Amino acid sequence: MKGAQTKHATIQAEEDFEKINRLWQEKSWDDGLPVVPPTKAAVSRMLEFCPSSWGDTIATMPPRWGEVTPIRVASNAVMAGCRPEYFPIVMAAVRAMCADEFNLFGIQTTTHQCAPLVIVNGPIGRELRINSGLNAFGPGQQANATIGRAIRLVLLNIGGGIPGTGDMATFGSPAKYAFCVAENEVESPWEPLHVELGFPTSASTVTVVGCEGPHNISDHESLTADGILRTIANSMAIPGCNNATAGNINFVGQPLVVLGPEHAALISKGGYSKSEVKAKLHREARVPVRNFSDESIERRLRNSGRFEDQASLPLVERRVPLAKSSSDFMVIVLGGAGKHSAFMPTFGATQSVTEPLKREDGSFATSINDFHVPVDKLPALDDFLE
Amino acid sequence: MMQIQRMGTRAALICSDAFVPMAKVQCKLFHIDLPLIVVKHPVGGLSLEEVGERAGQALPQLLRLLESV
Repeated sequence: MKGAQTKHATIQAEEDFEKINRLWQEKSWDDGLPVVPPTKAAVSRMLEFCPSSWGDTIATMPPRWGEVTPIRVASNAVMAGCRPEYFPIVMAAVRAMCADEFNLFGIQTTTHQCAPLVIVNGPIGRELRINSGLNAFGPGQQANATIGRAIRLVLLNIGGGIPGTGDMATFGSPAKYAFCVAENEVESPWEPLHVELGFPTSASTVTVVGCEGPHNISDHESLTADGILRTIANSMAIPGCNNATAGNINFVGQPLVVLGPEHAALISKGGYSKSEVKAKLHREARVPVRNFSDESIERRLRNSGRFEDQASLPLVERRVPLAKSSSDFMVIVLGGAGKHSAFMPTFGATQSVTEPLKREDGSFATSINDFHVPVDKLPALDDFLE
Repeated sequence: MMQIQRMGTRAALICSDAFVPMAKVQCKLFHIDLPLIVVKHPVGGLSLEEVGERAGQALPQLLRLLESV
C-alpha cells in the first residue's frame, strides 16, 4: 500500500461558510465544531510545507484503514485552522500514530478514554510557538489548538474513529478535541525527551503517546525532592488505571509523568537525574494488591507476571508496578508557575512513537522553513484530483 | 475470525449488543460475511450466573449457524 498514488475526490460546494458547514455536519466530516472550508487554494497553501509526494499513500489508518496521503491530511489541517507551517508537525504525528507499536486500532476503538497526545521537542517547537508553559494543555495558543484539532480530524475522517462505529469510548475525553504541547525544555533541569531518546539537542521531534488527560498532582508543602516524589508516586498508585491492570499479556505500558517546572527544579536540586526519578517511581508508584477487589486480584493480577520480583511475599503484601522497568516511565517537564505536576496513565497496550523532523536529504531540520517549497516548484494540485 | 473465515473455515464472532455497529462496519470494510452471535452487553466483569446467561443467549444462535452449514 505504501507509496501507491491515490486520486482524490473533490466536492463542489457553494462558497458560503454556513452552507459548507451544514454540508460537513450532514456528512459527519467534522468534530462538532465549525470547520474552515478546505478549498483547493487553501489545501495548496498547506502543501507548500510538504516536499514529499502529495498523492502517495504513506500508511493506512485504522479502524477504517483509510489511505493516508499528504493531500488528505492537508485538507483536514485546513479544516482545523492550521497555519501551513504547522503541517510538517501534523504529518510527523500522523506517521508516528500509524507505527505498529502505537496500536492505533486499539486506541481509536477502545472503551478507554485515551487519545494520542502530541509532544513536540526541539527548536522547531519554539519557532512555531507551541505552548510549553503556563496553561500548556489549555486554550489560547493557535499552534496547540489547531495541530491538535487537525490530528483529531484525521483520526475521524481518514481513520474512521467515528463515535459509535469506530470509537467506542465510554466517556471520550476533552483531550479528543485537541491534545498537543511542546516540552518546556527551557525550564527543565534535565535532558529533554528527544535527547533522552538519542536525538541531538538541535533536532526537533514529534512524539505521540496514547494516554488519558492529565490527572493533577498538587504538592504545595514539600521542601525536598523525596517529599515531592512521595506525593507523586502515591498519587499515581491507583488501582483503576490501565497501567496497573491492562496489558497483562503485553505488559508494555509507559506511564507518562508531567512535572511542573517548580516540582522539577526541587527534585533536581535534591540531586535526582531523570533516570533516578524514573527508578524511584518504578519502586514507589506501586499499587498495594490489597487495594484491588478480590475479583480483580483473581482475574487480572494473580497470574499476570507482574510480581516476579516479589515472589517471596504473600500475594496481599505485594505491590503492583505501573511499568515493567524504570525506563518504561516517561518523564517530561511542562507548564508554568505553580506547585503542580500531572500523571497521564496510558491505554496500556501501546508504546510511544517518536518521529524526527527531517529534510528530504535525511538530515535533521533546524527550521520549519526547511520544509517550505517555493510556489513555482510546487506540482499542480489538480493533477492529484479526480 | 476474519482471517479464519478467509482461509475457508466457517467462523463466527461473539459480540455484545453494544458493539454490533462497529462489528458490522468492520465486516463491511473487509468484505467479509462474518456471522455475529450477539449477546447482551457487557461480557466482562460478570458473575458465573451472568456468564451462564450469555452462554444461553449464544448457544441457540450457534446451533442455528451449524445447522445452516
